[in-house]
Amino acid sequence: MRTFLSTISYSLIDMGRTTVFFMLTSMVVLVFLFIVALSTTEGFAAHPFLYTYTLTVIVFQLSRIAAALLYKRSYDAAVTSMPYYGEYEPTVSFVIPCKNEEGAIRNTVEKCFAAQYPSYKLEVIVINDGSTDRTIDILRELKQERFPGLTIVDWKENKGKRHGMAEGFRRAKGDIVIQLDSDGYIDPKSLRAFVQPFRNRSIGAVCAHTDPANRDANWLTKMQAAYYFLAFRILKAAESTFLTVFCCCGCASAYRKDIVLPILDEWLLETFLGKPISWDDDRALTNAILRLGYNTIYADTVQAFTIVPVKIMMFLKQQIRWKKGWLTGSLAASKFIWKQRPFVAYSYFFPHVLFTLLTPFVTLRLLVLHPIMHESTPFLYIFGFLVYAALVVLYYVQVAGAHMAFRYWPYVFVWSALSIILLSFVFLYAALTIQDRKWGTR
Amino acid sequence: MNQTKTITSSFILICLAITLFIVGSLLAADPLWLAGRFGVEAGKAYAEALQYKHSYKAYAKSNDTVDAPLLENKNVPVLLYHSIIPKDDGYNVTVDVFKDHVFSLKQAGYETITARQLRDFLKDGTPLPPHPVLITFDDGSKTSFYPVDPMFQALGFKGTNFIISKYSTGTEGAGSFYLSEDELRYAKSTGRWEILSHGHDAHELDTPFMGGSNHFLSQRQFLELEGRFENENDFSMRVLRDFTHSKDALAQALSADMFGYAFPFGDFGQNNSEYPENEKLILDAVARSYDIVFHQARWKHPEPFLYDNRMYMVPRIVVHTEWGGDELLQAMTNYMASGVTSIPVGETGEE
Repeated sequence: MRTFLSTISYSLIDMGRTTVFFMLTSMVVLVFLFIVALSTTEGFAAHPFLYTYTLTVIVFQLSRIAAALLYKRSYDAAVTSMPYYGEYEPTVSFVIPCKNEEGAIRNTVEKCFAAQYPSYKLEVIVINDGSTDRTIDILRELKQERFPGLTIVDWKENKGKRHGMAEGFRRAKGDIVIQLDSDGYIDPKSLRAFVQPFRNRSIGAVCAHTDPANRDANWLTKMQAAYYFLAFRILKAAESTFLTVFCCCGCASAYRKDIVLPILDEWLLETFLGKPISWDDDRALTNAILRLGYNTIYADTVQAFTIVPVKIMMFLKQQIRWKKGWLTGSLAASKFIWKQRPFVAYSYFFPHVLFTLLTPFVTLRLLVLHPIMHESTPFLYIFGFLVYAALVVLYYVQVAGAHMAFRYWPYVFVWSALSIILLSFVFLYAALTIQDRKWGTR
Repeated sequence: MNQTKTITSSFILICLAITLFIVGSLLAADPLWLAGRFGVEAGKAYAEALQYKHSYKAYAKSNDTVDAPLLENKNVPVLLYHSIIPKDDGYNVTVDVFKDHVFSLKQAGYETITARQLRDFLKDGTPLPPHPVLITFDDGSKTSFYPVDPMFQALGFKGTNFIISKYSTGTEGAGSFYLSEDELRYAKSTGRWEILSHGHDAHELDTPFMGGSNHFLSQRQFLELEGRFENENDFSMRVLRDFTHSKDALAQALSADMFGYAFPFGDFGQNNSEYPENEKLILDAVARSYDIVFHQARWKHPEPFLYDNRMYMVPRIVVHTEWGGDELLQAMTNYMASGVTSIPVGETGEE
């Protein structure tokens, strides 16, 4: 017992000065939040549901930060401390399904081949999925003039991203398959770090850290830059602490080919309520890997880039697509996660699902119904919300440090406001239109 | 793996800490918030009190002492103030004038008492200091407390505030003019303030009356639903309800015994020529709830007397804003000598 306690105290003590500073500052912020904001409410007896909901949501959200605090430690335990003799250099295949990407595909392919990795261990497979533009011409030109090793799979008819990825897996010769979005690419220096986690035999997939390449286009992209950093370095890191990343992002993720091959057919034929799913391939694949019993991890030193929507309509369509994916993926995951990983299931997964389902209704009540019925502005709710966002920003700033996403920290507030007002309802819309299987274009 | 266990345990510990912290903050929120807010207030009052102490020393040096007369009867002077305001409005006393008043009182050797002490003196003969004075404020406005408390702190004085429970307690309370429940509690906690009742609806002016003075307490209401004026019984019940409502609301809010009352507008029906019997009804009703009541109808009852063997009625000196320290002392001396001849010109019995 004593050694148990001392191990905990040591691990908390040597968390580092900035972390301790952050925790102290957040305590102060919390004190401010609760004393000022809640001293004027009626308390538990008046609104038991709202009170409990608020309390548990805030504890849950803060538990995400708590888990994110422990991310580095977990990563070291899982990867860095893994003994390995010599250099770990598995063979790697890049799989890039694409459709009508004449503008971006050249850069993606170039960056793949520029990876700082032995070129004979590298393979690049591009699947042209029924493009109607000059994609195939560009690919052929690249293969002829610069990269003879480029493998091109040319499909005249569009079969869908999932089929593209599956074909890539089947043709890949490498042990590790890195799936990239056709408008994304990874920093050539990051490839080595990308494959390191696979030293740990229990790891089935690795998620890279992705930032928007077109960050500075407008306020929408800047907000997305803040959101991406937050979603990866805080939320995914929190999941990764327990080696259960629920969605290895399709923009840049690495998989252990051998474990994926057997489940490809099942994954391809996945349906939801009778119809095939045309979104959310990455989450489904990650689910399949988790179900097999493998761990999934997030590697924050692996830098990848992607293109984000510049127009609001496109952004909303993407969000709808993602929310649908989250719904179907979470449903599928809930079937096995409680058996396989009870701690993660009950301390994170199920509360997360519950709150995502409840939040639109609570928001509707507090931001719309209550003010209309009582003719009062929900100052306390908005204020409390802002102070909580400030807490998140504190951690964001601490953890971003010298990272390029640092300067977008004010947009965390914009994102939070948008998220609570708009996106919780986008979620409802997504749920209601789940039978609409069209691919919302990027 | 040992590391995994540590990570999981650290995580659980942090989450527990967060929950406990949040719950603890919620539980402690109200008291902490109040403590913080009134801590600031107390600090400010203390700083101001130090300034007043200094100022009083200078005053005492430069002014001649006028000795207060010894109390030889039951005529303990009771002073009535309302709001103490920064600039003169022709009605309320200004801060500077009030300062002059209390400095004069202090220099003359007066010592403040509480209404409780007065009641005990009248009832049992419990001795009072040789030069007692009861300083009262009506309505419980913020201006009756915040400018005054530092002066009282500096001079070692006490005050009594008559609170309108409608404006100061419950859901309608805590506006920007009247003292709120929390402020009253703070006032009590300083030990310098006694809180008593000034009615609930009894201070309202816009109630359904027709003709005559439209004070809640003294006039008969027109009952719309029944198409007639109140009879004796209705009237009695209404005023009694108001007295007990106010008494209970304040007693509950401040956990204190509300034994004293001051009539709003000083009106207990003594001027109502239409219904002269109202006065007796009101006094009977108020005697059921309170031990001691204060009024300003000195033309009728110039000295304290015992009503119906159970309730003391004590007249108060209405302090005018034109009075300097000397005039105040003079009015008090006159009152102590004999009630009737001390009424200055202009005071008729209305407040």
